[in-house]
Amino acid sequence: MSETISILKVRDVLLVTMPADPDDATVSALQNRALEAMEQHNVKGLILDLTKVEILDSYFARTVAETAQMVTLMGGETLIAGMRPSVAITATELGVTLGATRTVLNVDLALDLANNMSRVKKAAR
Amino acid sequence: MAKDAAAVGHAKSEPLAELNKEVGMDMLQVLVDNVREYAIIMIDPKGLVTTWTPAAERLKGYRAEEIIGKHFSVFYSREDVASGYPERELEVAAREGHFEYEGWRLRKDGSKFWANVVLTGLRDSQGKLLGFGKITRDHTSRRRADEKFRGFVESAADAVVIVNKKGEIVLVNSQTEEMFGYSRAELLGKPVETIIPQRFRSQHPGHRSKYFSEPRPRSMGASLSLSALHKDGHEFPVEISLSPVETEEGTMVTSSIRDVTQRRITEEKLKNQAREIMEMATVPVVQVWDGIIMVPLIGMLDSARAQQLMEKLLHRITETNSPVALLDITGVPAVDTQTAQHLIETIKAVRYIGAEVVLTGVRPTLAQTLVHLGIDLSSSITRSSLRAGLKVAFEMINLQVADSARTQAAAR
Repeated sequence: MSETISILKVRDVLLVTMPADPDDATVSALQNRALEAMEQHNVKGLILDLTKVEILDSYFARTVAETAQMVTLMGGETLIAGMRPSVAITATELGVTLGATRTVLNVDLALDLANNMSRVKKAAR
Repeated sequence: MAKDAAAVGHAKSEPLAELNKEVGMDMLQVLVDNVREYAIIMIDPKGLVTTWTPAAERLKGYRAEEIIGKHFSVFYSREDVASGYPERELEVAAREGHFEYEGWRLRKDGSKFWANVVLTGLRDSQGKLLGFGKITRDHTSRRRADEKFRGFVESAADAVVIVNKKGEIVLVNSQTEEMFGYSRAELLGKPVETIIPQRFRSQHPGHRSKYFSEPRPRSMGASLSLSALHKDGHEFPVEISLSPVETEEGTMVTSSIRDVTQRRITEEKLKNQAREIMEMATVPVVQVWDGIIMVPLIGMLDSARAQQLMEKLLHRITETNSPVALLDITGVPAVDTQTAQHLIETIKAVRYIGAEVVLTGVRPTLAQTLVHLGIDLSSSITRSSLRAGLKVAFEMINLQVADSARTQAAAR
């Protein structure tokens, strides 16, 4: 595996950074590693950093949506951060869906949100 | 002497002699004398004038007694005489039996006229040269018309190329030389395909004969981009208009050729500018607050524009780090299923990158249309007015708009 997922605990969230062009194996590793980290660390949730990602196919998107659901079941919240415009456009064209997963412009804002998650939740909808 | 000359003139070939016998000499003489448009005279083998007619007198100004016995070179300019032109004509007519030419000739008073001359060598039955019959017509007015035409062609702003039925170039002007890099001599008599790019050459004769079968003024290849071929091998864009001209040699086609290279460059530039302006006008993205941008959409939202909207909106959102984008559709005259689909996709894409669209300008009629079309926008934030939308946007970025007087009062 040339490109790897990095998982960092920052304050009370996990920062999961995806490589630029993750292969299927990397994508499937994402779920296990993220959920394991959730169990290990006492955190409010997970920030999935897609800043480097150049393409989002349906398998990747489904994995992300599923993982988010699982994180919710474990009592946390998932934020998807930093998806590039080109990736978003391709994803829309492909009809990819992320379910109800919340998205944030960048990791910076995601950390802000993570600090007061309950308050932001109310304001968003 | 006049009588002798006439005798020479009358001793002609057998058929003419027969004719003379039949109609009588006088009849033929009457005919020759009374033809008005042609000056028909006789010249002996040395070039001396032997007969004269009233028509010849009208044309050249000499009376019979003044001219008979004189050498016919008096009709020629000094330069022509000096170059031995008259004698050469006789030589050719004697050798080939016939010589036709046109040129400037002199009247008695020194004025010039454009003469069309047919010179015929006359021989007896033994083949002995008896003299020459010379038929002269005054073609000055035709010549002037021709010159006027050439002048007109020469003064045209466009390159003019005249082509005959065989597709040969018969006349070009100096603009043509300049535009194509060929000299006149290089083009005259050549097929017109010489100045047409190789890839069009095979079709062209077909087009040409079609045009000749139904000649009328029109532009060539209307709505097509035409190219012409320069001598140095480069091609350039042209516009060509065709018109038929009737000439003595039959129908010919005048093509006026205009080099539109410069115009094409200008058009291209204008097109680019227009596109840039259009792009700016199609999706004007403005930042209304830190974290809030707005797109006031005006006009129909077709697929191309929707694509632009999505790209520009997403990029501006990431550039400005704005979690909220107000999309105001007050200025969109009609929304159909397709437009709604474009909006939904845009909203979706914006959400992927972590921002949210607040759709404003949903008027009552639009709300009705959307529900009737079964378009579900329930997962999006929509408002009827931009004002209401802005209020939501402020709330979303945790800002409160307050009356400053009241806040200050509360603070005290």
